Amino acid sequence: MSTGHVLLGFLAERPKHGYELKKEHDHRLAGAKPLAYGQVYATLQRLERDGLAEVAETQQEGGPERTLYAITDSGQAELEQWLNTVEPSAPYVASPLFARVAVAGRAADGYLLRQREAHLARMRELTAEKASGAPAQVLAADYALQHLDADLRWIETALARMKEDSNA
Amino acid sequence: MLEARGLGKSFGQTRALTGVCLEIAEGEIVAITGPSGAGKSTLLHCLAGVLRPESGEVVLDGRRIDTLAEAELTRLRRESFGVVFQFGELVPELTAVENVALPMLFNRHGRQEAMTAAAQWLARLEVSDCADQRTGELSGGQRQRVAVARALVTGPRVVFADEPTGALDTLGGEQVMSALLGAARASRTAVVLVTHDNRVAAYADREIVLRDGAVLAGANR
Amino acid sequence: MIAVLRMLNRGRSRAERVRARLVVAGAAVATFLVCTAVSLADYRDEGGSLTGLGLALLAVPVAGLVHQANRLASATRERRLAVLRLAGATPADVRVLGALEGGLLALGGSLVGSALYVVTHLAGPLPQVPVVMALVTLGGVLSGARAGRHVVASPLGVVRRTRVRGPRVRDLLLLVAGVGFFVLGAVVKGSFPVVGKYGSAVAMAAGLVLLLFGVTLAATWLIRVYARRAGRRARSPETLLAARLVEADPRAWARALSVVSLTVFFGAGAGAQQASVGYSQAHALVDVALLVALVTSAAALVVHQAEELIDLRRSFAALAASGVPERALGGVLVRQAVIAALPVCVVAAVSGVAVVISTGSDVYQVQWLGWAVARAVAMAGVGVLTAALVALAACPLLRGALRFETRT
Repeated sequence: MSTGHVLLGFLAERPKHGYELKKEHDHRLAGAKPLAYGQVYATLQRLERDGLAEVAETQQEGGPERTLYAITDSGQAELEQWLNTVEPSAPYVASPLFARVAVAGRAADGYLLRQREAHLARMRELTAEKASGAPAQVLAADYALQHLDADLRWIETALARMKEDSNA
Repeated sequence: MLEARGLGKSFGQTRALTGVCLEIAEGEIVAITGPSGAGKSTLLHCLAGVLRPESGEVVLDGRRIDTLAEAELTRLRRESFGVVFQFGELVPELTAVENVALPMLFNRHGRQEAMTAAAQWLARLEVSDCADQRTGELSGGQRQRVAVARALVTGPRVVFADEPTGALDTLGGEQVMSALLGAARASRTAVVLVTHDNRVAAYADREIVLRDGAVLAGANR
Repeated sequence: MIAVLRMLNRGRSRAERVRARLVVAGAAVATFLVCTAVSLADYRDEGGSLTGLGLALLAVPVAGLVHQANRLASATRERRLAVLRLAGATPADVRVLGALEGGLLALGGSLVGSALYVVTHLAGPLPQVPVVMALVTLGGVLSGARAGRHVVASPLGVVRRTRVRGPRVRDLLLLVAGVGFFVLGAVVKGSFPVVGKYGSAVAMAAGLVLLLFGVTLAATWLIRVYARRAGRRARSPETLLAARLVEADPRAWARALSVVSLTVFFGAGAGAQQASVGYSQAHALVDVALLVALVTSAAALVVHQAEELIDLRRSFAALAASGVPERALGGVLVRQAVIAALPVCVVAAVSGVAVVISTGSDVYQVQWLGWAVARAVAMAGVGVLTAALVALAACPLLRGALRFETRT
């Protein structure tokens, strides 16, 4: 995922300044890692350089200088293209969880149980968050929950397979 | 409050439970998980006084219940326990509100009182709209919420739920779970959930993992 | 098609074997009774005719029992037929399969019955035997073809109960026509213009069959109305449950009670008649026949009760698990029987008396009414009691049905 595309998406609604974009990012992508200010401005400058966004206005009313950014036509086209691009379906398995089990083999039994506990503890937190969360937070929590659940189900299958293999 | 001490139970040649020990505190929400065939449902039924274990004890508030006479045990189940099954298992010929009123009527409350209480519970679980529909005509999610109301209407100490969301999709299951747990937490009713769905288990305060009829983890708080 | 039938028969469950034996036995008994009845029907001999009538009366509950037995184990059977439909069998195939099965069973039974009759009546009249056999076999074919009709409609087999329709004029017409035929046969006796000396027997038999259907239809409606009322006023959970269960499926109850109600109807009518002409030996015979009919109809009720228990098993087991005592659930069964039987028996008794009095109103005297009313009350009471006793007898079965199934 590219931060540039996300910011372009927010700019498509109306021109905004950097601080506003950061707030919006952290709110709407609730589960994601919060964006640093430095990264926001660096990304905006890159977008401006590539002609995808432009400075609409510079305000200075008493406080510090605030630059309002707007999306350009080619930015609009780029955003459109990104929104409609199908994410490639992971061609390789890349997960430390999987790698550890692949290396340890049958000895991973104890590790898997501890991992399961950790995952479930996180799922409990997420479930509790959902009960009081805003819609964006619920969506993010759902995403995380289902991925953790997928891991857990894989762990269960792995444990069952190990048991089967040791019985055979 | 509810305790199992060394429970053992077998069906013919298969040992379903071997020496299960666990403890559940008042108002606690506990999930019993494990692969199929681990003895989850058997454990639930032993705790709920539906099955009698062959060895070990089930203790509620310091009183041993697995040795009670059948009539006594039946009364205990009616007054202190509530049960939610996977498919609701409501009486399809009765309306939703009548189904919920049934346990109160069997506890010999008046019809008016039972119906009023039932209607209030349906409202709390947001299924008032279907109060007068026969439960054979309801959707799975509605039926399950009616079943939750039926389990809670007598103000039990423990509600036992056996795969309560097993027949529902993600959102339907979520509604049933938050309805069940919201109501249970508000009235400090303990809930014992049997599930193989980790997302349902995540609603609980604690997970008891069962494997081959024995507790693998989480027997105590 | 025969190959499919044989394949299916090999995989029959115990319940289905019981059903098959019941159908064969019922067909045999019915054939024997009707053959004997026809041999006795003689317009020159009042007593013989009445005995014949009594025996014919017996054949009706037996036929009812056979039809009821055909419905036993219908759940497993429907599932099997549904699989056939999903595997590509057409509705006609399923119907033919059912008809073949029912017809073969009935044919086997009627062969046994006729053999029994011929052996015991070597000197008696024999021409009716093939006719009766054909009729019984035809009955089996029709009953078998109808048995899988839910599956014929949809391969998934409709399990959801349909709403019961209200009463129609047709139901009433059936009743009236049935009574008409029966009275006609009994009154004109041998002078009936069709089929010579068997005319009255044929007319009375046709009247009985029409009555049986008419009574079932009318009773369905009556039971539903009464059960709804009982449900609204119920104070105890047992009564509420019983009334709602009956209300949801009044047709099955009406079918199971049709023979009971006919017995009550004839019993009350016979009582009203005895009051005027005095109790004769023939009356005693009719009474005995009625009693036997009642016992046989109780068997039909038992079959219904068994079917009902299979239906209720899941929801009753859930209730038992949440602490409803077994005794209370047994109470539901008994109350169900009373709620269904009470209106039907009362109406049957009243109409039995009314028919006799209205046909002889010019000669009927007030002092006879006491005996007639007492007989009617007794008959209605016996009918309700039979239903209640059968339900009570089913209570031990409940324990088996409630045994909690555990999946581990």
